[in-house]
Amino acid sequence: MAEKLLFIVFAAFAVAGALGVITRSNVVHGLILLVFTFINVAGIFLLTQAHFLAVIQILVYAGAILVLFAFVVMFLNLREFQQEEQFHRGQKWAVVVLAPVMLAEIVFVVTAVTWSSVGDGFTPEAIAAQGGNVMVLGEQLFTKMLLPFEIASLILLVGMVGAILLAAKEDGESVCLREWDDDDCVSASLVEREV
Amino acid sequence: MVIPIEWYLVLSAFLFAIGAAGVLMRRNLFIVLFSIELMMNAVNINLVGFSRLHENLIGQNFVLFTMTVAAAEAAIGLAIVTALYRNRRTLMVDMFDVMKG
Amino acid sequence: MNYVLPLIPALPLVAFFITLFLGKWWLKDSAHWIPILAMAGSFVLSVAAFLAIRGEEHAMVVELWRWIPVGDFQVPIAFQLDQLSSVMLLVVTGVGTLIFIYSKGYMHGDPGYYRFFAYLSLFAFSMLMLVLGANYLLLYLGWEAVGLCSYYLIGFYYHKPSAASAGKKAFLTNRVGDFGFGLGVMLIFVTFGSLDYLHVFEAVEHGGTSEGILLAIGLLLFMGAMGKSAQFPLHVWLPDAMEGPTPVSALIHAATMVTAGVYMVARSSVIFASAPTAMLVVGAVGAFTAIFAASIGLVQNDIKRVMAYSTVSQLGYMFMALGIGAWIPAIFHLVTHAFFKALLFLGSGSVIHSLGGEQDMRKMGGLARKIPFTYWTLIAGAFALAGVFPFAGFWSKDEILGMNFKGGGYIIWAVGLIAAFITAFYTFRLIFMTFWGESRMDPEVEKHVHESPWSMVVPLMVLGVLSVGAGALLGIPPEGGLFAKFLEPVFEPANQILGVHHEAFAAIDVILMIVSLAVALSGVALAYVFYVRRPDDLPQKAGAISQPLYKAVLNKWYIDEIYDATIIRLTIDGSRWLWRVVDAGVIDGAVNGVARLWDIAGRIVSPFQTGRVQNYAVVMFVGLFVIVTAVIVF
Repeated sequence: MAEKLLFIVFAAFAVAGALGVITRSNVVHGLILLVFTFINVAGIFLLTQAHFLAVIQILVYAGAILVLFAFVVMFLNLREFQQEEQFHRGQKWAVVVLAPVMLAEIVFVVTAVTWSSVGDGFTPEAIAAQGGNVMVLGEQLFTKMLLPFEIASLILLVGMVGAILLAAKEDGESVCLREWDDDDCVSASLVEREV
Repeated sequence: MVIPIEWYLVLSAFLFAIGAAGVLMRRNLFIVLFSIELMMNAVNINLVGFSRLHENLIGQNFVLFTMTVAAAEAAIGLAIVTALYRNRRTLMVDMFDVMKG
Repeated sequence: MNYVLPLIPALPLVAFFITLFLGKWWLKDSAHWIPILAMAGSFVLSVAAFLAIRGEEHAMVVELWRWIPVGDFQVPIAFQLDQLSSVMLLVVTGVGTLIFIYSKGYMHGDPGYYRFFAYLSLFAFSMLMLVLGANYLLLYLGWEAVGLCSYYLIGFYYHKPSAASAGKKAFLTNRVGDFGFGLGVMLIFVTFGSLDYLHVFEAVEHGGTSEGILLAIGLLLFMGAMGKSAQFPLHVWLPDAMEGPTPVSALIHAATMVTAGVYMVARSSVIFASAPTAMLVVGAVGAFTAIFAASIGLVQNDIKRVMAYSTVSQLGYMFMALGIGAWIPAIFHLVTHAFFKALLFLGSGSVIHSLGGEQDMRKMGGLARKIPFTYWTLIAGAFALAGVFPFAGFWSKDEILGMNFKGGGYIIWAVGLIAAFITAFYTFRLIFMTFWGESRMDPEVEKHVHESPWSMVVPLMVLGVLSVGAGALLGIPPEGGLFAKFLEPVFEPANQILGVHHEAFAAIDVILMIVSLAVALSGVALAYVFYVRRPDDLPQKAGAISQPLYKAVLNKWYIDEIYDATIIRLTIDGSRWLWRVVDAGVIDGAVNGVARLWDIAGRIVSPFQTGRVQNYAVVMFVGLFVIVTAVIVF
């Protein structure tokens, strides 16, 4: 019963945080609310006996990834955007209608289906008997899931190389997104000074 | 199972819908990226919930890979953000309208 | 022989490519060397081929590769060497070499010098392919290619509208004939399942093919020959083709290409021999053309046009011979005609060259002293054309007439005799008007009259010697000379079908020879009376007496006008109708309508493409919503 209560609390916080993320105009506020949401999700992982994932959620997501975001947010001067319109004018209303309807549909489907367990036997008790969540998960990761694991490392490597390439400063004179439109051209040095 | 699977799914649906709404209506590219992260987390909740339901660890393993991809995606996304900002001096998504033939 | 034979056409082809690609920038004024050497090389190889085939019973076939292997339709690139193709090879390469050399002098300084030699080489290649091909499709290929070169070369001075339109006229008129030829080739394939000469002829000899089909094939093939060899009513292009440079007129429109029709009919002798009606048509058309063209030649004043009509007339002679199964005399006449007509053309070219481009005989006269080499060689050619003993033309023409007489074709014989008379008359009219009498040249032109350079005179002399001696050397005795003996194996099957027996030389031949000689000499004499004795009044009087006839002949029997009023008018009007109504109305309307439809559709749809990713994402989600709703509802 206590678990259910905790789940409701975590879930409510997570949803509230998420709503905050998409409504705040200040990016830094949004970022902090996102961290808050992730921590609550980590709490739900904990409730589900996924200890390792809960830790990873906080370390990698709330830690590494969001720190990266914070770094870039600070790197760029974003204050000027706060004065601008934050929402699409027409699209806003489409979304206000569409998102609740989608949500209702998903909830309808999810609740209409009777979920039954496959029952593979890895109950929390069994896992605890075998040495705990981290140990069993690790064992599976390095045996059954070894190939995907290696591929994941490759994806990270490619992501890293790609990020470096994309973010590297070009040393051209002026950069035109649309080559035919001269007004669109921006001198690189000018941007660099600003960035 | 103490907490019914439906709860996980409904929570996941909420987060997913909120994330989708954010992707669709926000103009700030950062918030769009945040929203994408929200949607991925919704998926993670689903996976963990099902992992618990079916009493195996496949779902949890999967979440690890999702996070890997999310990390790579965040890195690349941020690199694109910097490149875009450097070239266009704006991060308002609707200013980028060259995605037409 | 396997290596020699393909080289014969290959050499001019190589020369063509080299001259075409290097000519403009590099070879320039020395562009003549490579084509001349290639042509001389081909000639030497042709002599080698001649020596190899002499006395052989069977044709040699060299297959290079399968060109078009489609199921039953097998067309190899194969060359066939027999006595007939050997003769043609020698004529084409021999006369060709001389004319190439002549062109060096004649075309000197022309801005299109290299282009001229490139075209000539391409022509030589095409003509040799035509002659050497071992099946009808290769013949057709060469046939079309020589037509193309002819078009290029007639329109060589393309900046002159008359030359350009003469080229087009030649091309289009030939197309009429080629259409029939193409159909004939297809019919041959449908009937015999093959296009190889040997296979087809064997099948025909074997019998069993219905005469109707053979007649159709023969007439269709002859239609092609009519176009290419300028037989009535498709003769109209050849006189206009004289717009081309004179060496071209000599090579293509006198010595070689126009004789392709004769070659083709002779090559298909087996088919024609099996279809007597087709032969009758060939002979009748030939005889009519012979006298018809000769009559026009009587009154022409342009020196080259006289030659052109004379060529048409002589080709008529050859077809006349083919029509009675006199294959060998026809080819014999082809050879001697190639010599003396090339000579006459080159000689006229030399005259024109000397006079700085003047072609009107009324503005010549008294040239004999001034350009003696040209004069004497032209005299030899004129005697040969007129058929005076013992010049080359006499032997071949006499053979044709003699065989007609002995074969019972008295009408055709008489027609041929009259044509021979007219020929002698207009030939010497040309000689007398050009070289004898008082000079009627412009004083300005007269000052610059000069003998042509050696490169032009030497070919003239070689051809002159051939015009004098070749007939007697090859044609004595008539129907049994060296030439006839050499060609015998090729026409043996056709002669067997016709049941022709070789007859010994007899008194009747001598009488016929004397008759034709007398006719020729009287033509010469009449010309002498008209244009040397009384040049001031007699031609005018004769013209006045036969006023309507004279006018008709002067206007080439109004053939061009008739074509203009019927076929051409009809085509233009029909085309205009198609343009205005069908093309502009129906087709353009349909196309524009379809375009407008898509334009409207595009206008409706294109606003959806904003270029903003989020708009697209919304549409995606709407789609997702629709699908999920559909899944839930159904």
